[in-house]
Amino acid sequence: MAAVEAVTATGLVKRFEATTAVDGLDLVVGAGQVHGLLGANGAGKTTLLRLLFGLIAPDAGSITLLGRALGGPGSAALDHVAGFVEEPSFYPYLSGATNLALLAKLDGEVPAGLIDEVLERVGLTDRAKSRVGGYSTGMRQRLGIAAALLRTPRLLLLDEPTSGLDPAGARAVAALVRELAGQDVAVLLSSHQIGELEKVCDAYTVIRDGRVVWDGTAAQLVAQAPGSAYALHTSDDDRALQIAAAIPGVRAGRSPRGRLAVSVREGSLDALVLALGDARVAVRRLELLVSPLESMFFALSGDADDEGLEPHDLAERALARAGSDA
Amino acid sequence: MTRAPLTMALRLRLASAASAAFGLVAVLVIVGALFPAVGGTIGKLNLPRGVSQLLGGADYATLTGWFRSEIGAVYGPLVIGAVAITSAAAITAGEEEDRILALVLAHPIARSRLVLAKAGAIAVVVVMIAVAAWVGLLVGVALGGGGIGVGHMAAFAVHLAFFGFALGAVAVALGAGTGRRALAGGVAAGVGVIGWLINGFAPLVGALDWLKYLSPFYYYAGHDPLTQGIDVGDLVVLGVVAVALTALAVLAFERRDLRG
Repeated sequence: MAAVEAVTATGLVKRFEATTAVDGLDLVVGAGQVHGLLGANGAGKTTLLRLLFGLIAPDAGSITLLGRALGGPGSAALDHVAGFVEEPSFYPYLSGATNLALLAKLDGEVPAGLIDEVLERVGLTDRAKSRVGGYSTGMRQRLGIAAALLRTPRLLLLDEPTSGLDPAGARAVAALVRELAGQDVAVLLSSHQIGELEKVCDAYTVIRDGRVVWDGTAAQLVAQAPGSAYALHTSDDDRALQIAAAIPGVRAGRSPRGRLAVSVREGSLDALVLALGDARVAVRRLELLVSPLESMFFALSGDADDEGLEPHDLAERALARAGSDA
Repeated sequence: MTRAPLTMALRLRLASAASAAFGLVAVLVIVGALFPAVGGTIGKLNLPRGVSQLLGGADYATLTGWFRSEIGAVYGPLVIGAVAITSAAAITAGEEEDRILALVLAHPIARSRLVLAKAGAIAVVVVMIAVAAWVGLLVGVALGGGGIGVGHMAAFAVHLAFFGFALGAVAVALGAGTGRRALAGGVAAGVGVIGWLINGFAPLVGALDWLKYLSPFYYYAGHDPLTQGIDVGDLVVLGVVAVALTALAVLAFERRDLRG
């Protein structure tokens, strides 16, 4: 028997007065799949998640979650579906543990110790009895994840789950997502922090202006991406520039601060590094500036300023924005 | 799981309701204790009819008149109305504006059940205040020298409760229907204030006398429960209004998008 898809959305349309936030959108998230939802601000990611949770009703289209039709607000289709949209909000004058206890009762009896267990998993044990009003943004984010875990979900819908988290916290969330995926939990992650998604996602959907502009597996994305871009530090940058110019699929130039930036098509990076070695030019540092996912994202859904740019140009912009001395 | 939304809503409002109830009891006790020293001195005030009506008759010569004016006319409905309205606006539209409702509704809970649970919690809070009013009257009337029957004091508390149900239901309907806390609280408070004014002044103008039937104050105190006991007809009107508005709240909340 074929596995039931975790999410099937067909022909979704959602309008807000004069704006069409979601415009004929189709989405499939496979069972046990970690699926990244990418798009610029205002692309429709949050609206889509609100539709999936039944917080708003579509003007057209249908949604099934774990094989059950989402028939309207408060639908039982939300059984074993957990997560949150934007920053999760709790009762500020109650403690984290009390908030979780109240939410847990909406699902019936809670196994003893489960609340303590999920708080420990997200690293909030020490602050469990503190009022949520005193929590930082990152702590509220972690509490939201804890609330989702309480529901022993088979489908997790997370909107910017690493927002407000420090790098260690973001890595912990990524590890948690991988762990859940290993337990056959499907995860739909919406984020604009592309680097975080690259570490965990099996597949991606890129949306722009409420429509899907690309959908596929991580391998397909890498194969189809315009390329990637790096900051390159060598023992002889002038010589490295000459060598790079002669290699097909490589473009090189200098950043605003005079350092080397190279953009490469799939497979060209090896040729560049080997050529530099043959010319006795040492590679001291190779820093990824624009990943294949990022270049694809910018090509498909980026700001108007970034639309149609080559990775090399994107690398220059990335360097200028970072203000780095790469 | 059926009671979980109700206990959740109650948990969040009990502390403030208990505080208001305690305060009401204290005021009633003090008002009763003051009567022997003050009431006879003031006597019945000679005020314009409309103002006298607004103040419950302004007859401070008797203990019944004293409580009717000091508590029944303004303070009692003010406390129960304020608690019902602020609580209802907070746990409906307030939670939606604070985005707490988005997390709650991510659970498989029907919106109708959620609204009914919140309305039920408001009803429990109103009953708490009304019981506090009755307890405060029992003590206060005793301190004031007696003269009001236990049954009539209970009748006053019941009328007060139904008044609170009706005003709370206005706030629940607007809160669940619009998701706007300020609108829900403001309009419900406006209904209370305008209702108080209409009940006081409309009867002074023959052609406008009928307006009093639109005021919740008419059904709360128009037949003077402190001396006449319960008026079933008045309670039925207030009860029907509360139930109808709650039903409207359910229908409206089921059909609209949650504000984001």
